[in-house]
Amino acid sequence: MIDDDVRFRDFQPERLHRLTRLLLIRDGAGGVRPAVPPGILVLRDDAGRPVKALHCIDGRVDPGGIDAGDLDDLGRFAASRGLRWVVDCRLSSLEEVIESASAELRPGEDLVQVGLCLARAAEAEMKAGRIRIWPELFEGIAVPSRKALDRVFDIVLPPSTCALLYVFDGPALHAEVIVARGSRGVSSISGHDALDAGSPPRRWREGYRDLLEAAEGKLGPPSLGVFVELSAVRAMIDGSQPGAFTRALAGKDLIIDPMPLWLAGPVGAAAVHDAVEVGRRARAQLDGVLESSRLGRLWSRSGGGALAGRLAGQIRGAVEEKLREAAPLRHVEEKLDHLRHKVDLAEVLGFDPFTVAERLAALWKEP
Amino acid sequence: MSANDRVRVTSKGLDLGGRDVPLLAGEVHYFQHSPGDWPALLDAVARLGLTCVSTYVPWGMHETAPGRLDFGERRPALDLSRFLALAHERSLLVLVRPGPHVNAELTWLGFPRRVLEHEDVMARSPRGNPVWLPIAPRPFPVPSYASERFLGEVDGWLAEVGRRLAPFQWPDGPVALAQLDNEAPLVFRDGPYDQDYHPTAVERFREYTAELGRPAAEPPRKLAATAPGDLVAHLDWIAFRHQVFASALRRFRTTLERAGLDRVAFTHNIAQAGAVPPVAPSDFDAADLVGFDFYHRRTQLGLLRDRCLYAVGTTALPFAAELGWGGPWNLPVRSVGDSEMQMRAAMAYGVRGVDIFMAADRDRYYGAPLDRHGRRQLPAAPRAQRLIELFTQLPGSGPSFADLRRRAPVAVVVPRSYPLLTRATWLLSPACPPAVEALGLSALLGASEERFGFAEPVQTAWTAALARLGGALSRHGVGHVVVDSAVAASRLAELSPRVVVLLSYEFIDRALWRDVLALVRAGAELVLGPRVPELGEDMLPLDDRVEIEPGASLAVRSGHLSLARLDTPEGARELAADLATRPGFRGPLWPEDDDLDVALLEKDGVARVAGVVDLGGTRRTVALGSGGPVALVDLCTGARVDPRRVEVEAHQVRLLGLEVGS
Repeated sequence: MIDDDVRFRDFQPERLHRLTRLLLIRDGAGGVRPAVPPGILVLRDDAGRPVKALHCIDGRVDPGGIDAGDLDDLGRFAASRGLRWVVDCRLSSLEEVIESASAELRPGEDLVQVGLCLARAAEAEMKAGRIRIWPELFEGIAVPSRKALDRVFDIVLPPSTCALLYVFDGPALHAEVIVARGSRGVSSISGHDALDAGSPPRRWREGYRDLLEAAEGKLGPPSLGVFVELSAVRAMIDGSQPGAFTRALAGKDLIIDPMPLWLAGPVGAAAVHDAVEVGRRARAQLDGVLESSRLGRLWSRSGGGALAGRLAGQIRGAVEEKLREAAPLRHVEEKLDHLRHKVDLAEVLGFDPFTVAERLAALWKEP
Repeated sequence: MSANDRVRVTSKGLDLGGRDVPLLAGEVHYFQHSPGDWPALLDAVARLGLTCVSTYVPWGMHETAPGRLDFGERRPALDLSRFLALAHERSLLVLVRPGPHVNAELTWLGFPRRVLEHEDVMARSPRGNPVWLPIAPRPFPVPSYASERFLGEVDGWLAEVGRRLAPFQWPDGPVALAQLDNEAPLVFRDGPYDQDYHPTAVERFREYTAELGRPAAEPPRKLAATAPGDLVAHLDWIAFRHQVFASALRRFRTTLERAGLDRVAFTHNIAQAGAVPPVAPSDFDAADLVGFDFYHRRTQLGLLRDRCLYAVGTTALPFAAELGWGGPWNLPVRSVGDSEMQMRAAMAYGVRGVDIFMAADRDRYYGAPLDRHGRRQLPAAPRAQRLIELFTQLPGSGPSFADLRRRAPVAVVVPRSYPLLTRATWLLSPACPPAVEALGLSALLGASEERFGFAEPVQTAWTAALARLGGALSRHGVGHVVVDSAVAASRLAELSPRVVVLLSYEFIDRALWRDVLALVRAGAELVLGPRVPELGEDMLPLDDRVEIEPGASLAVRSGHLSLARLDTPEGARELAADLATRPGFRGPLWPEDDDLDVALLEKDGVARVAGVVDLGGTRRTVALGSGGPVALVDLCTGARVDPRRVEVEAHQVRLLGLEVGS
């Protein structure tokens, strides 16, 4: 998926630095922390004794403070320590995974193949109970075939196209990356300077189309363009505002143009999900207030719950309308549901990647 | 050939027939630029104030087919001779790095693919599988440096490139240095039991252990130890792997010299991992100069300090063989601030030779002072240039950085077997310690926590003790350096510290123990701790035992020996506080803040520069302690600085010129 002579160039160091820090959460004191939910890796020897424990935020944990019996129920272990995930692994499994993958690989294979070999070896160790993960993120999910991954790659980034991500902070370009694919694999990963398009547009909501045009001239037709305001990214990352994604889309703080077929369905579904979530939270808040008051008892007797449900439906409809306005679909005017069926990554992979993404996203949510 | 016919490395840099030249290099990879840009690139390198341009010579790019090499006959960008001639016209010296391993973020890291894919060349895992390096864009099986097939192929390449370089070597040409291979050893798969179980390596290990007087052993294939005696085979295994590489480097040097490249000095570089690497620079005796790679971020100034103090204590010319400016595509991103603070810190702690990697951007590398065409990039270029200028000229008529040495009345010696043990007990393979450290994590995260029959897990305890002691000494204004035990005898004689502190646990390198006791008998003051050693690295009783209680001291002939509780913060502070009260130990300026360090550089016993280093990550105004009036001036801005009100930004290094008594 990556050409042997792939180019990586034309980055301004400060913007590249900012690109890699987009997924950091800012705390109120001006510091940053990785947007990772707390979790732990426990390594055990062949006798099952914990010999190493690494917390993803706090670092080393004394393995002597973990009893082997504590790990019988990983969910309970996680709950007792305020963790959102746990990986319990035998040391010998690390060895087994590496040796197994090493035996399978052949010269000339690429990193995707390395990943698949490792995944298959890890899958075998998980089936044998020597690697255990809580929560069970991969339940019901088999390692896809190479052919399936190649097909997904062709769908996500078709040959001779490019994809752009531009993050703006008001009128200034905050960070960017442009990925171009040749006839085989990714042929270049570059910054804005690769487009020879001069300075980035200050009014990006109007000017982004110039970037798409410049990219098409230099690198091939864009198959995906994401242009987003930094504040919207932060709102989506820190998760404090329900519906941040949909609001960004509706308010043109997030423009996805072109919107590829494979993404349109999930984007719509996410928007609908946000709408329902916003409605649910609003309803819950409203119900909470009302329950504590005489008016509340009147509300529930009068069918106030049903009213809130209809409101949620209206919110959903309004959002879908905004979605269509904010991301015009070049060639298709059918409804979102119909689009989802046109390109179904789940069908290609044998599992729905967005299901996995949802399971991962759930790790960030408060239990 | 007389001594003057060969480039020599001295503590000041390079000696070219009696002429001293500072070793200030910048990396430009000719093969990644249009030849039309070479003149502008080299002009810009010279304008930055650098004395030398450094470049890889990648085998895999010059070899177009087995036995066929292109040095510009077909592809102009491979015309190495022209590049060298252009450097010579600009009076730039050249450091050539012909590999075989070059990295440069090239696919295959500079090896020809056909060589890597030969079965006899491949390094082997414990079960005999190839050892894969999972690197973008294309993973590959790493070569075995014990493989005769591999070494034979390398001979062919080096003989040819040596022949081509010979006419350009000093004094007739610009080539003054040649690096042997790159980033020892093991091509980033250096987990203790990742490799190399190539049949030749296994046979050589049996010979190696037999030569040590132990029963000829099979190499361990995983960590299997519970008692001290069990560790011997593991320590031997780690040391042996370095010997395989050292032997290869000797062969590479011989090949190059036979090809005619016999007037240059040879170098090698060690990639980062921890405060003290598992391989000592002196292990690579084929190199006249061994340096270290630095790719730290400004949040890692503490680690950077420790590595610099090791380089300064262990080598005569502390050399940042790759001082990262900007970064490669496959490491965590570094900002201009990271690069600048790293260079300031290296200078403040006594590094005296640098190769700025990269001086010019190229494919898969960003953030250098120059762009691909040789144009200055802002803000990197002026910041880099200012620091380079300070190497050769400080404001006023004072000495330059090149003339200054770290003020260090204390030398801390680390027994070689301790970092070997740390490596031997690494559990997180295939994640290797340098990769873990590159992610900003501690290289100790993967070490085992077993005690193996000792009072504490020595493999992690020594690092914590070194950090505690270093922090305590810094806090009390007592400068120190770290000396590898492999060179303790010679380096301690050169450095002449007032006190030697020896990190010691229940076992210690036998030869080191003998040497330090000899020093004490000759009049030295030695502090050891936290434990009195009883065993050698072979886990057999030492010949010379010492009986001493913690906190007590012992006169040994004309010397003095004491045992400090270096396993506790209080013990480290006690020692540092005691040393600080002795005349001449504390410098004229010291920190009054636990998260601040003051690194003093002096000439002829007079402190001339203070590096003020924020280790805590907080912007604030600090007061520096001083024994009398001191005048300070910021060497980068020229502004006068009040020692009672020094402003520091988070993770900043300030370079301050100082005059005592003003």
